[in-house]
Amino acid sequence: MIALILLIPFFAALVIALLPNSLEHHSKFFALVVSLVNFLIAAIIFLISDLSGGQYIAINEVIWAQNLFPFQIKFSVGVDALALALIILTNLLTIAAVTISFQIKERLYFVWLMILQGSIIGVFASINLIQFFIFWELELIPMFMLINFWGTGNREYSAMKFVLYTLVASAFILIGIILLGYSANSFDIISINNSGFLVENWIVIFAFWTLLIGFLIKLPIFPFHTWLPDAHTDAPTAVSVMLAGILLKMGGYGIIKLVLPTMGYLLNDYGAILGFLGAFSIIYGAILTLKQTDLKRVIAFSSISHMGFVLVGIASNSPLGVLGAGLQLITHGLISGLLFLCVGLVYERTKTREINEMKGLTHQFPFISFIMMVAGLASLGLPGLVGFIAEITIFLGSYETRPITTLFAITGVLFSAGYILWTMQRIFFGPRNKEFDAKDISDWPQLLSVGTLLIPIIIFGIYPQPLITIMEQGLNFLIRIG
Amino acid sequence: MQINELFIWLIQFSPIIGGVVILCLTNHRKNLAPFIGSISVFISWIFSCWLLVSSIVEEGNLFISTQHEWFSAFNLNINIGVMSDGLTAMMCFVVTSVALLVEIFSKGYMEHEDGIARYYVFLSIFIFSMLGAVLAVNLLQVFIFWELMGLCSFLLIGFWFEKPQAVLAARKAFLITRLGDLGFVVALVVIWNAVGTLDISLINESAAQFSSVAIFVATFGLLCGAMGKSAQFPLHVWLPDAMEGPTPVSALIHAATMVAAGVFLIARFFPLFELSGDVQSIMLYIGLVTLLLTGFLGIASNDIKRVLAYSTVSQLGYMFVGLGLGAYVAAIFHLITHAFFKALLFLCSGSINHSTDTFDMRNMGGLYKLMPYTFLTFLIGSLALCGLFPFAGFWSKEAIIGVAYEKNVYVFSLLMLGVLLTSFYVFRALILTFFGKFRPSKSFTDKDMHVHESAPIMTVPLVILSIPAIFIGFIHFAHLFEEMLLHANPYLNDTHLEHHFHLFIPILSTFLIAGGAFIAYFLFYKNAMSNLKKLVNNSFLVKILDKRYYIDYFIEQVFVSRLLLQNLGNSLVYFDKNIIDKLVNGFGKSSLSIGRIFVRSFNGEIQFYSFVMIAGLLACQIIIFVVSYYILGS
Repeated sequence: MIALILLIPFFAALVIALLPNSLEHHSKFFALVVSLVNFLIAAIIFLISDLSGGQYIAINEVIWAQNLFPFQIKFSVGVDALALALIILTNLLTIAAVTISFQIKERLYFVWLMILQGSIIGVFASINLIQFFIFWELELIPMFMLINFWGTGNREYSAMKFVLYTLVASAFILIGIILLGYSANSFDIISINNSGFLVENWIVIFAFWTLLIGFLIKLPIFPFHTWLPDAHTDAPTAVSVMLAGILLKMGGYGIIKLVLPTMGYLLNDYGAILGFLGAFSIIYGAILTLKQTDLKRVIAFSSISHMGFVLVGIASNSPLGVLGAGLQLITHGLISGLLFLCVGLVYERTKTREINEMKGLTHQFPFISFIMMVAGLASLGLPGLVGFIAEITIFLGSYETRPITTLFAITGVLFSAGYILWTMQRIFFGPRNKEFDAKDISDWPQLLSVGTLLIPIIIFGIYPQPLITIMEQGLNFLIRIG
Repeated sequence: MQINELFIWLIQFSPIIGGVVILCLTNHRKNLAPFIGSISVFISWIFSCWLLVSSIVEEGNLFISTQHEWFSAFNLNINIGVMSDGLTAMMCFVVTSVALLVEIFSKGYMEHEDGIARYYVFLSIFIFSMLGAVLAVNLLQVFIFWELMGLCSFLLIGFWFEKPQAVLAARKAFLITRLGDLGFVVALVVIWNAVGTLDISLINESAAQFSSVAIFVATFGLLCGAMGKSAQFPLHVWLPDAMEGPTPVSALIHAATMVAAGVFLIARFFPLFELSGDVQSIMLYIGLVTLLLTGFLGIASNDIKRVLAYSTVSQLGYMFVGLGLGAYVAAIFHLITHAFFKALLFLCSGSINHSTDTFDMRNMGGLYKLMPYTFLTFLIGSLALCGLFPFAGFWSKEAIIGVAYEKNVYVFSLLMLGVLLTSFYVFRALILTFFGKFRPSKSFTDKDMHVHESAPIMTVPLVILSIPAIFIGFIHFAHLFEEMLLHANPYLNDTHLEHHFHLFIPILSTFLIAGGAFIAYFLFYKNAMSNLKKLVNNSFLVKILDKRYYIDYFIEQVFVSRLLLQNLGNSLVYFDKNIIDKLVNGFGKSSLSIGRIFVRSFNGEIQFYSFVMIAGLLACQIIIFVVSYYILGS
């Protein structure tokens, strides 16, 4: 089943690429149908399978290289609760990304979007380290193409910077993965995770740091964050949604999935440094957010700040803190995805992203401003919306082991309120501005697009237990090992 | 018959159901919004009365406390539910009573607004959240509704979002209260780590388990949260600006309910505060400083709503002093009386504004003939606020002052100074607004408007509110009142909060009130304008008061604008762009230049290539030899 979810996007990309020219303008519908179907399959897997033990399900294996290494490399897919949650998030975001791009006619755009979706799912569905790395790399190609050809502004520079920077991350991750695989004597994630902590020696410590640097670049955490604002600014809306919504989450997923079960104990020694980096990122990102005047950069920098919470949660190395970090991955995916969608909708109508050039937009676009207000409030951690649960869990969980870091992280809540409200007020409030007389949202693709992300933000905000349960199952190993 | 859980939930949820109904009707029948809003709050008022009666029967003991699991994760279990002790019952009654009258008053006041449906929806969410915070059994539940209240306050202050001052005030209110809420979050985290639960009664029960550091941090954090919401120095700056919102909102949120939530929070966790003497003294001094500083500010303001706002902050200062002295019952008593008479005063100012189109007292005067109901009810509210015998404010203020007299004579004398100040600014406002000659502004006369008494839909709530403003103080004589509040907090150590009655205190305070009134009369009754001008122009003190002691200036201009945004922000932007990003780009470029060095080696000479090949092979061999010797050999 999981193999199906993984293959459908690639297959769809192929089909879209081979559509006859007369049907090219329908490629968006095809992409939408495929992403809806894929979402449904993932949802059905979630509903019918029992993930409670934290075990992997739906494993499919093909032996890929028998004698290349001292041990065999398999092409194997399968998911546990955490991976499945992130796959469902990927599918949700793809639906939003496809529907927001309905004015784009070129088939190639949707081909790349499908490949992007497929490779991200590949990262989460891989239970083999080499395969994990292949998908990790594969995702860069569609990103490069999408930013390079459909972006705005300084898009070639940003696309190149994004790819090169993340390639540096990949180099670190590759070293880390190889060291990890050799130390654990297996490249199979399940057996690595099941065999408990690796014995501490300098190779393991080296692997720990190389993996962490690689994943922190992806997250991104200060001082490895500068690729993110540029990539976001020049990317098309759908790519921003995917980038903020799910690509950043791969970094957090990597740490939780590869580092914690094998060398989590090293966090007792080095967690203080990481926690400090996380807290610093929160405040640093927040202050830079206050200074931005481009709407997309505002949200990009706020993402840096919010990803700091993930690192604080993980660095605490307490089950509750890591759980909060996991929740933050999902909730920030939904919230920042929705924020970028709204920015795209605003940009489409005002043709500017410069905050100082807009004001009083709520007169023209009451619906968009309502949606973006909700997304913003979720982002600043308002109770009743989903972001709050993640943040409060991180604070509760990480205080015991890292009290000072937690206190610094808590101040991030004030900053986020500051930049969110200030931004929202500057663009939406104030007297009517005659310049931007365009229509509010009315067509169904855009409604579907915001709906897919808005509804879970509200539902899981009011009743977070399903989300927490799935995270708890995915992080079962923390209790087992710790 | 005792109330059961369902109806307690309905107290909280009836307003939000009303709000949802209004939301669904927005497009078609905007005029229904006030009716639906008022009816939904009326229902919740009925059940609040029921809850109060049931609570009286139980003498304030906790008789319903429910737990429903909201979520659980590893060792964190969050249960939500409702409780019904004396404190909750009284607060519910006060909140729903004031809310009901405000909803009715708003129908008249907001009649001509386009966004009236939006207004009622926000109001409904607010009432829902306020009741949620009061009824909550869990600290996290309190926090959730606490934040939602802040959101509603933000939305309602900024109701007229095309007005830049309103937008600014809304943001300021949210951010300053959130600054206090950081303390709340810290307290939440510390309490959970100390006792492993967030259940309110369990926290109070296990107050003794806290380490001395934990109890200090927890109580100080809660105090910070309370200071933000209840606008205590130095976080009081948002409340006067919040007057940019519609006046009924000021009456409900910024006078009667939300700002009192801070006092309620401290009262709820009073067993913790009792164990932390330091924090209690901090609370006492903050209350004192607030009540005096804002009392002076009340003298200098020309905007009637701002005078009332400063007086609200000042009266909240009394409550904080009461709590700081350990007079838990007296503080709650003052909260209750204050809610009624201050809501009354604000609604009166709304009624005045509705008819004169201004809040500036310089453009009022002589209104007592033109608006008799508003005048009489404002007078009642003013006397209650001053604390004149036998109005409501007298009893509650006397309760706090009496405790202060027995505990600390310096605090007592400062509180008496506060009485003088209160009387002075109240009578100043009264005289400038209602006496002398009517001094309409130019725009008012140009528009050919006439001052008239407001419609019954607005005056009737005023009349109703003036009844508790006169009489509610007498609940003090019912022994049950104190019993109910004490039973609500069974883990209190010091239950002997009652003080002896000292006859000279009311006599002295009456003299002070009369003195304040006399000074106001002397300064403002005759030649009101010229005296006012002289005072404003000549006095150095008035300049400082006009600038609000430069506290706002310091926070907004110096701290946020200059230090945070300019200095720190710009240097971080510079650092990010020119150091971090330059390093990144330099890293990229350096790989290019390294590449250029190697490019030179592709020079086409076979001899050079073969030399490199042989050298490389040799190097490889050496490496393999060394590695295999050290790794395999050992």
